[in-house]
Amino acid sequence: MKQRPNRALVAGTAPSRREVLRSAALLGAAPALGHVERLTGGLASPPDPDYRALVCVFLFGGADLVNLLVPRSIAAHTEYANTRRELAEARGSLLPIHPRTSDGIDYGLHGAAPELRDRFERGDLAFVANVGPLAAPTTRDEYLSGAVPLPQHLFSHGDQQDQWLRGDARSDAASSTGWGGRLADRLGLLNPGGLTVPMGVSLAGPVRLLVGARANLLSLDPEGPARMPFVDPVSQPSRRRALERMLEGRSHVLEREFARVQREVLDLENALAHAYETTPTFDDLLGGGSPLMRQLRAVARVIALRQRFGIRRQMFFVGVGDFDTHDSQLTRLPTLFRDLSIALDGFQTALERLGEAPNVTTFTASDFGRTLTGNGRGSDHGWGGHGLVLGGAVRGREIHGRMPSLRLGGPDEIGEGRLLPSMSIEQLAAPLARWMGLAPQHLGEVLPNAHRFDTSALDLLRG
Amino acid sequence: MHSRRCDPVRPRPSDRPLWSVFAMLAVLLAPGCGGSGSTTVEPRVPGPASAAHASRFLARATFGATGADIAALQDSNYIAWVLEQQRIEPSLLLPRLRARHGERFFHEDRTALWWQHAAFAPDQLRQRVAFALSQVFVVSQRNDTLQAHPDVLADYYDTLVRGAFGSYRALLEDVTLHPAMGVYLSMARNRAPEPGSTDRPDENFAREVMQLFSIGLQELHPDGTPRLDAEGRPIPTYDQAVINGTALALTGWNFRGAPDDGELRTWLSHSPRLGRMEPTEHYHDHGPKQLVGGATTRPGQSASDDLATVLDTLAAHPNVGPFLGRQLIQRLVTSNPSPYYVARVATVFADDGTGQRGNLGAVVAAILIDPEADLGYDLFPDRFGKLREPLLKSVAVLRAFGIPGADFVVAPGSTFGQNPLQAPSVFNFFRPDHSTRELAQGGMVAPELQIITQANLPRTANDFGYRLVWPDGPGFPLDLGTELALADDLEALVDHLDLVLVGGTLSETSRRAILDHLRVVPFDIDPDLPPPDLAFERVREALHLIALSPDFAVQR
Repeated sequence: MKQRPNRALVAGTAPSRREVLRSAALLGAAPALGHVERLTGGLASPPDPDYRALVCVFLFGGADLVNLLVPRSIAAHTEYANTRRELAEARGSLLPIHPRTSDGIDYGLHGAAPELRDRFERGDLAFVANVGPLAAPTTRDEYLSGAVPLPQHLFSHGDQQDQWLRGDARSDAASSTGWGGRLADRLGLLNPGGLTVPMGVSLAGPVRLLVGARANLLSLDPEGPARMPFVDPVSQPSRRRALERMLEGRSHVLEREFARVQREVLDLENALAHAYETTPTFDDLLGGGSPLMRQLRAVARVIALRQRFGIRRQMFFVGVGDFDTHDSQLTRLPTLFRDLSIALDGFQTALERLGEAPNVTTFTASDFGRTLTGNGRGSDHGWGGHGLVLGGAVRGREIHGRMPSLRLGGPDEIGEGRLLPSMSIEQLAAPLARWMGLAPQHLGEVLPNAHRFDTSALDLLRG
Repeated sequence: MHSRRCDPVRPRPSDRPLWSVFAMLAVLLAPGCGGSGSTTVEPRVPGPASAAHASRFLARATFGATGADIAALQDSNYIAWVLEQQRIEPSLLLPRLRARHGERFFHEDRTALWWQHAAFAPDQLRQRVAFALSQVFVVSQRNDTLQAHPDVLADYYDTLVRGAFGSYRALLEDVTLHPAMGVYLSMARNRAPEPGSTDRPDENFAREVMQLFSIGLQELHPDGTPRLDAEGRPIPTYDQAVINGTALALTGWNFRGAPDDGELRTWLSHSPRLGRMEPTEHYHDHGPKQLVGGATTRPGQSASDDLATVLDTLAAHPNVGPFLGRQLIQRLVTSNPSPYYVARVATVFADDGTGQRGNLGAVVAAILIDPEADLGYDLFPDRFGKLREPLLKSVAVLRAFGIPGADFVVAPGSTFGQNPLQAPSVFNFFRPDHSTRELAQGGMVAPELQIITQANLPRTANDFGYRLVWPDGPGFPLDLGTELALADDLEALVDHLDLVLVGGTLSETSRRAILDHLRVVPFDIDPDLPPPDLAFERVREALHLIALSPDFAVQR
């Protein structure tokens, strides 16, 4: 006999709405909650001075930031426009900026980024010029003659992303750890034991950046810690017990990996879900709904919980795509820059409200910069590109490093409009790691090729 | 049943390539039939050694086992099953979408029909392989232009469905010239630079056709392991000069009937877009170009001839067999195939037994009837297999117990971290080498784990809850007659679900946990509702817990 199931008949085993409400009320009444409300509601308690966090905003696809930070002096803009041709931003559309230290050239930001211009002028934002993966310090002549080792598979998305995330452009991709994870291996000790929330938190899925030899990362949904109402321990104790039993003692290696993630989900819900809901939602700042805003909002909300969990060091990973502008670059870039500008500005304001602005440093990374020359509609995979560094501790209103010449055949161009990075990933990551509290003698653990570069070149952060 | 398995299958002439594959593999298989007294050399036709073996084979070769399919396969054998599947008429999306909705339909309609085909189409093997191919030759609706053109993506998917058992070289060309690819990797309107200008050709497609669709980044041995130079380093398959040369060779293509200039999206929005891209000679670079492996194009060749030279060169490259073969094994069978398994599949890619290179039907057959696929779980119970793709977990439940043709609300891609033709980038939902620290220590990878995250896992699990045990949820229309008949015998019920969904590999731990839970069902009677139907509760609770189990998370 075939029968259609009658859903009404299975009602007894699903949590009724009444039960869901009841369990929420029970948990909501837990004594710890009052503490969270005190903490996040009033903001009266001064932030613990010993908290520091890095936020990596990864612009997937290879961001053309040569069109975000653009020379405005007439001669330099002419050189830029001659090289970029149809990709060039008009001089008059640029928003002027006034770096504290001048290299003799005036600069401006893309017209879609007034919030970033304001942040720069206020001293919260700095640029790092022409950074990228290098296996060793490399001159143009050395590159062209093949005299120095180069990163593997240059100009390929996956490989250059990987080199950024591993913090190592010299060895093969054999190592499964990233520089943030290795930093956590060291600094995780600053967080109290029995961590519910590890130092590394990704809003964009598991990412090698935050995996260390010991450190794990937490991969958090941008909408916050997930709930699993059908296995709720209060309303569905028998199901919950069955699920928890199934997670134990797995012999298959892949089952173990699955069970580990499921276990973490349950622990996270248990520890974080209720507290997370008490944090400010920052709807006015980051409610715009773009993936970048949603992720940064979740970062701000987790930072709002850091005292409750006694966290002293964190590193967040946020990732957005669509920067691979092979075509329609002129229509796509303004949208991308607009989103970046609003989201980073809103995030910084959220941190200011939390009183955490001096304790959080946000930096961008991307697969690679793009070719200066176009293909008629867009640009291709390049090498060196600019980075943004944002936060209360940043030596802002500065362009750190040396702005490259944009002339084809010039000292920084290696052919086909690609820029040779004048600074390695290590030279950007080292000051960030030091600011987080990494002792100089441990730098090599985090950045194995740091000794090949002058990692004191950038005076990026205060304190 | 045993005697039937020993019956030789008589190949039809059109089956010759597959038959050759089988004959080649038969050498590797266990001793033949006939007992010690027999002197026949008739190869043993490999068939399932048990119902559990049959179920596990179907988990690899279809979107999931059903009770009926298991029984049918036990009465047949793997090769006959593969041959029969490959003969079935392809189930295509675009014609059915047009018949149902006319010219105007949405990606949601495309996805909903994909679910119907995945769960119920008769050409299961073809559909499963096409889904695997859609994760190699990636295009995605997550693209400004393709977002607005579900018909182009439906047609692209149909191209993979039609080509799933054809020649690799032909499929590579179909994919290359498909307007969806022309948009996605911006090959359409790729122009040769003006002489003397600093413009460059668009390298997007040139790069990815090599890195992802054919040969990969490193030279490979036929068993898929990297070749090393004298200093022990991997050898890159190409350099920037080859990318540049390939990009130039592929200049001069445009959508059929499209003007050379003007806003492409405007044109696309009111013009027929289907049909292969076409060459525009005056935008093609006619100089000599350097290609992979030292090959070059002849100067003065047309866009079509250059394209043929590029694709011939790539399809002939020794990397394709192990590179593509390993990925198809990973999508269908196991995340960590032995080099021997990869080598056997690559051998069939190189020559299907009739001298044909790149016969995908033969490659698929070789992957599925390989002894490592059939016996991997018996030999390596703690490491063989793959994590099920989250989307395919849900499809497997629907296929096993769903009512064909009945409508249901399809879950959005965010429920699974994937959906057909919705990858976040050309690098698919996950990379073939994704691993974790613990897995890497054992030299293992788990690609699907990249989307089984702390964020995604609960959404997939909650969707099972809504569909299986929540009274007001968007349930699957399920036919649970067989299961309800077993509800009085809890052990038999769990054994049955184990066989169909988990291939008879449910662990003792999970089995006990599920049975203990079922013994207390119903545990929470709501006085406001009529008394529950015990049989339904048990079946649904059992299904729900198996769907959440780590056992079901792994396909073996």
